[in-house]
Amino acid sequence: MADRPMNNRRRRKVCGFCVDKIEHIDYKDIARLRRYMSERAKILPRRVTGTCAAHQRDLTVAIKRARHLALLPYTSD
Amino acid sequence: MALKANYETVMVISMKQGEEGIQALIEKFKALIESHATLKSVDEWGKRKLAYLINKESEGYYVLMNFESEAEFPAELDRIYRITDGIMRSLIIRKPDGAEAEEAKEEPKAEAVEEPAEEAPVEEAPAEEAPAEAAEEAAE
Repeated sequence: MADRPMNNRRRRKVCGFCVDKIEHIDYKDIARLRRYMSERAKILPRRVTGTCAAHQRDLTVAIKRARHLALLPYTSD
Repeated sequence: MALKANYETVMVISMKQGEEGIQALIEKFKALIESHATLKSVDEWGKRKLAYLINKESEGYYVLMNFESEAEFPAELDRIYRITDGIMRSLIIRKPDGAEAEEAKEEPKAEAVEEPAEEAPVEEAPAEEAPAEAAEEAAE
């Protein structure tokens, strides 16, 4: 039961990028990208962040670009 | 008709190049871009800490440039990035179509810098949400 709480109880997650009307996710916006990464610098899944599919795809690309430029880590510690 | 597109490139220069070496490299690439394309803007971010070590170095000098060129040039630029000493990392991306509109949008964003006090708490919320929800679930 804990796995699937009833839909009406759970707060609906909305995609942060849709809310802020960001069409193209900028790989330079590190502060924002960080929020979609775990402690260990992994990209958080959609089910955790509530990001919509289209933005999640853009997000992964943006994070990977930032990682390449050493703006974001591939891993922590 | 050769199609032109907008590109954005970032290079990370090794601090080992020294003050003058860095400036020389920036000048070199500015000249290179100008000879093949229209250089739109240069933004030197300056020295920045790297998120991880590259060749045992912990800092790099970041330079962002925007340019408009034909499709062949980015490949050439990338080739030169790769054979140039002192360039630790580089990225060349084609700006999404309608980048003009995007740039227009970016500017008001810069003006809105005064707002972050309002925005920051709202933006941080998603990160905090997850644990809060987990707690809710546990309560159930």
